[in-house]
Amino acid sequence: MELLGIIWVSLRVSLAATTLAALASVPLGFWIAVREFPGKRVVVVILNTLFSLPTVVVGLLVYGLLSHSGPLGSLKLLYTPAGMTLGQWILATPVITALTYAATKGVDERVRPTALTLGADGWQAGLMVLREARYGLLAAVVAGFGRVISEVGAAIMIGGNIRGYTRTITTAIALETSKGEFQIGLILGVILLAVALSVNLFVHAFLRARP
Amino acid sequence: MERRPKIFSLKNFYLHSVGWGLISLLTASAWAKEPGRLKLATTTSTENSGLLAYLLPDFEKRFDLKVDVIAVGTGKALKLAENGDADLVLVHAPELEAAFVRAGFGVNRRAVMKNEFVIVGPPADPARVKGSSDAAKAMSQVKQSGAVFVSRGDYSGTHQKEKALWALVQGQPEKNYLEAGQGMEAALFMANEKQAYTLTDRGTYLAVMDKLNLLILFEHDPMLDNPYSVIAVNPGRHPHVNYLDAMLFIAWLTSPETQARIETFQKHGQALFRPAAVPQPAPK
Amino acid sequence: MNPNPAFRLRQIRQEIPGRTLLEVPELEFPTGEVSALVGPNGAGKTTLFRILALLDPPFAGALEFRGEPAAFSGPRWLELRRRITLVHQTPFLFRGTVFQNVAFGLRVRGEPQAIWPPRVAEALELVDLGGFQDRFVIALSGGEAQRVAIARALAVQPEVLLLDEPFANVDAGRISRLEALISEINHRLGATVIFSTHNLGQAFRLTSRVVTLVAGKVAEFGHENIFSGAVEGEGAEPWITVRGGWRIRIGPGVSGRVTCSVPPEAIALRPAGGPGASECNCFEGEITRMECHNGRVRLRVDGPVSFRVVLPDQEFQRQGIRLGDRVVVSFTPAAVKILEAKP
Repeated sequence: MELLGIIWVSLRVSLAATTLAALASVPLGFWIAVREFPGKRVVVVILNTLFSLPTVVVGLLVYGLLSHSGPLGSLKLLYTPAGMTLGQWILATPVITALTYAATKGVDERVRPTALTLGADGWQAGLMVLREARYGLLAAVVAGFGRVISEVGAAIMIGGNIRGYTRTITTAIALETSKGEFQIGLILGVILLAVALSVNLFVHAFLRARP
Repeated sequence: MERRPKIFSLKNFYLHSVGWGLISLLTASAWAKEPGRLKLATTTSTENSGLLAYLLPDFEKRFDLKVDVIAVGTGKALKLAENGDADLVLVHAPELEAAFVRAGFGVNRRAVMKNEFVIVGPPADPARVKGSSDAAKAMSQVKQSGAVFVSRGDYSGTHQKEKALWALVQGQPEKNYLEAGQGMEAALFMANEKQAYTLTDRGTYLAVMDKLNLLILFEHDPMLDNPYSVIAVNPGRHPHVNYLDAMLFIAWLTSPETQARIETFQKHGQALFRPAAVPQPAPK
Repeated sequence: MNPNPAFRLRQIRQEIPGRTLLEVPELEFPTGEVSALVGPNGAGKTTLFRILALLDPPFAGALEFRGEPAAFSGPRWLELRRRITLVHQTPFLFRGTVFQNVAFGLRVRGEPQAIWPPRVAEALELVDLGGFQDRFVIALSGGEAQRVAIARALAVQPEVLLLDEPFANVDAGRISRLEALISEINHRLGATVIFSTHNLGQAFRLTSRVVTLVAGKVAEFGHENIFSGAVEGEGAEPWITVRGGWRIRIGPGVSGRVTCSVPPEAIALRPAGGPGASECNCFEGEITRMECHNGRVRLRVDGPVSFRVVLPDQEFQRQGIRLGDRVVVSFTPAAVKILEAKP
């Protein structure tokens, strides 16, 4: 039962973080791809660099933000799943934004004019571009999910690895490993992979249903 | 024939995403606002030994409070409390605790229990630690012999005690001294791999000794006492802390009933902690 | 009367940094007719189409659509774009089914879903792809994809249909069918059609309104009244024979097969039934269309051989010509311009 609770916390936090990140990052990555503005290349380079943002650094930053002595201390989000969601959101955002940018760039450049000349307004034409990029977009979101469900640094620093509350699969692995329970750690690792596999199968089925 | 062509599956997907996002956000914030939580910052030894898992359900059921255990080293636990990110601490580093209270971060420090540090090492005992007259002598043996010593190196209570012992013998060894920078278990595994000596609390050693080829080579010295105290975070400094429930927890933890249960908690047939909160009645 | 041309371009210039793609001082495309844009690859045909489709604003100059300035942004832009549809040279079909593609224009216009199936079916029938609704576009051949793209444009019943190189990817056997389709779209749907091709002869087959683009500029012969045929009758006054066995006399000095044009301004008009010299180029017909703009009147005279004629306003007033009058058009052999001569 405790194991189910751990899987549930992992899934809830990572799915919420990925979803929230996707809501912000998909439009953002799309916007960066279709608009020309000064410093665009710099932005893209920064985004790609943030792929390598260490999870513990994010954990540290968010701890500093959410700590009672920090600027957002009054929200009392430290050592809560919501706080972990915030940390993972920060981790997923650059991944999804950069991959959305790449996916949008990869869409045939005739899509937008074709939609426009058939009478689409700007918003509808943009949606068509997104629609043509949807495989890439889903890959972006799945990559973001993969980044957050497998990370331990932010989860343990912001969540505190509280049993039955903020303990996730990865923090449980870290704990069991530190206790020398390597076998349990490995089993948890396999469970994490199984969870990730289920999410990917679900996404794949979603795509297959709409060719 | 009625057709229902779907052109914008993405639009639906997007709407679903928005819906899910809102639901997740709401539930996440609901989690955050759940009342009746008490944040206890403590050391890995109390959590990983299973003691808290053994004791806490009684408290949680009796007072309808959830205790969130944040298990870190003593140094970090005190730091969290200093920042107001915990309601109380259960730690084992008397000098740091005293400084913590002196600086006004904590109030109502109470002794809870004791256990004991032991020096473990390879069965062959190349440094001849076994049979030393006291703990300082044992450490000195390690230093003199040049045997490898693994230190926690993480400002934990164990690390504090180790440093105090080294201070008695003119400082730590200059070579063959490895700072693990990790928890007790990790340090023990490292010592095992290197067949080195290390200082550990008895509870953690008992919990993992099946996996180790290390023996207790020195024990039972008052110098190696490991007292645990509970301290509430000073509500004068951090008004937002759950002070009343923290005091309730302290009362419960130091009550005769809980103290008796601490004594009954065993691993491998050995009690890990000796209650220390209730003064033994003086012999008549 | 169609007083306003579908498009009027003035001093239009399009450039990318360092290069001028298109430079058109003045150009008009009449409403309700088929026009052809002829030129080699890279002549600026696609650039012009993208401006006419309101996809790219010109770098400089003014574009009018039906007498009103064109818009390249804002709500008016959308409104105008919904009356003009461009079919790209290598059309892009959206992922999904043929139905989804052809219904796209209806969908974005918010047309009720009930009318989608009949309109899609109708458009597909026109391009001989009846029953293709549920095919996935990835399974279509290149030619089928091209026709789906045309059907997709037809489904929204645009006022103006722009076809960029519609014959480029069509196999030889289908070219005549597609040519017929273009005429049909013009006649049946009343749409103004502008198509581009690099084949001058093909352009003349479909319309006499041909604009030739070379290196981004409208070439000197922006011609109407185009005829082609083999030169006969060597000597001072050779002629070519056109449809119906009629002869058009041309200037001396050419032989072989020629394509020629009679400039509408060079044609004189007089009422039918009067005396006339038989040796000149004289053709009787009926006035079927009149447009006036810029102080000139543009007439269409339909007879065994049809002509477009442009008269100065005063001359028009003087003769008191009315729609439906029977007239005789005449022009001198010297006025006939040789566009192309092949041995």
